[in-house]
Amino acid sequence: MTQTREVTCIICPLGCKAKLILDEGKVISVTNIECPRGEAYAITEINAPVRDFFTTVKVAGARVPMLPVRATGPIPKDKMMACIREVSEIVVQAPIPLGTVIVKNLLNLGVDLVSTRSLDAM
Amino acid sequence: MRQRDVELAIVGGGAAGLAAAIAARRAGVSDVLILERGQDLGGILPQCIHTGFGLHYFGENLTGPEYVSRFIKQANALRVEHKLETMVLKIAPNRTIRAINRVDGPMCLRPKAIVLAMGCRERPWGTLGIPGARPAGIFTAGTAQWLMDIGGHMLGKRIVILGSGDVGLIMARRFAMEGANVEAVIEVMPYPGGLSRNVVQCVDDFNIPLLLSHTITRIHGSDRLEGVRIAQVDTRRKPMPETERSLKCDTLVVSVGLIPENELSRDAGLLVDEQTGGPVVDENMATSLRGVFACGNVVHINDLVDHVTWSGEIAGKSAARYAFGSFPPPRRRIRLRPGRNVRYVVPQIISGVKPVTCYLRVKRPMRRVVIHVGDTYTFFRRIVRPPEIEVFTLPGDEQIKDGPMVVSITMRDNRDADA
Repeated sequence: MTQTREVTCIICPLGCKAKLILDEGKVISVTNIECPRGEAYAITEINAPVRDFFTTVKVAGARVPMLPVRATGPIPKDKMMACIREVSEIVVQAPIPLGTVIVKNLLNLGVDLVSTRSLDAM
Repeated sequence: MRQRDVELAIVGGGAAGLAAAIAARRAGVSDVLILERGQDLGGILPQCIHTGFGLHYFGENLTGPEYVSRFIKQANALRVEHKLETMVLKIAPNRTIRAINRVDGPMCLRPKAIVLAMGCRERPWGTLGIPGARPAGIFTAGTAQWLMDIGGHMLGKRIVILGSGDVGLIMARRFAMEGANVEAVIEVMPYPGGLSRNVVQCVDDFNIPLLLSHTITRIHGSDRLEGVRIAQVDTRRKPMPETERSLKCDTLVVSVGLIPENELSRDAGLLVDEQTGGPVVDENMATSLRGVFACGNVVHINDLVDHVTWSGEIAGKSAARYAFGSFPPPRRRIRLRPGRNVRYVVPQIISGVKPVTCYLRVKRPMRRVVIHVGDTYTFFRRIVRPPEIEVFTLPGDEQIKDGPMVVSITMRDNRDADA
């Protein structure tokens, strides 16, 4: 059973709309894409798409109420909302230097959640 | 009134001003003073918590706060002085700066050189003149970003975004990730206003409808926003009444463009390019007033902070040379004039004697094009689109003729001219 999927490439401003044909979930052909990097991106987008993860967590004792945080590497796209829920109740205490690990091995994804800003204690 | 002589004064402590300050200190200027209106150095970057910064400058994928913290650290290590919550009121043509803050009161600064790095601000939604009341629940995208990601306020549950520029797209994703329903992103042009990676990762990923060739024709609600009426527009961007429908929402986020902040520049009598909204600059980022340089979004709206930093470095080095008295006026001034499908080119003036990196913004998308610079240079591009700036380098060439050079874009062949 084959199916067709379309992936908009983000590697360069051309924005090719790659057409992929899948057979039982496996990519068997990629067309309408202009370069090998784009082709690799399109296949990854089908097989195992990843995204950067970043949000804010609450911080107590600082001049501002929110601390920006990020994952140290890309995470699977379908884990984004699970990660958001996982970190939504976190409250950290200032001072927080940049790069402080807030959550080690976030949802067992092999990445840490770290602060992206230094916040002094008030 | 407090008076002070200073080697170099920099107006604005964001990405551009910090880069200029660091470059000037490294070039040997002992006395560099940044005047910053906000409570922190860093400009807009502390609230840009998403990644994608520094890919070109550092070869790393950083968030906004991470990117700018590297420059704040360097500036501090180089003992760059800064005054926060300090408002510059006026820059006189003789380069005297009037500024004020709560600690020093009114000040009169007499710098040898000035770098303008005031950045830009958002086009306010009132300029659109949308009929209806003016209820609570309408924000510009940057204000919404500050309120959410610095202030910790959730602004609403049902969101409509007007304008598909990068800030609007990024806020669509933030609202979706924080659990709001983003009903639609509405764009009047037939193509998205932001980078394609933001269209994919901010809108497509969350199944948010991106309504191209659409606009808002009415605001519903009196105390709090209750909804908006939207319509498709024709090729002349006029709403078509038969396509009108209502969308319920409690929050409208408006992202309809950024405007370089040049009241000070105009007051000082600087020549301003009406297409960029910023001062006319040459390859050294020198403005029309001797000893005054400009960089970053105050010159033109950049897509990427990396380019802002580079322009700040050029401005800082040039200002250092001026402060040392080793900045002779250029021997030649060749004007780069926008031609076919070119909105603007920065710098607007080159000397022709050294290589110059130029930034070009097109008016409309085209595929398979040639960028012509006078009769002298050509650059091929597979695609040009208004949201993505074109960068090309003109070699230093004594053979360049003296007159203005028209920069224009033509089709490379007759097929697929318009993307």
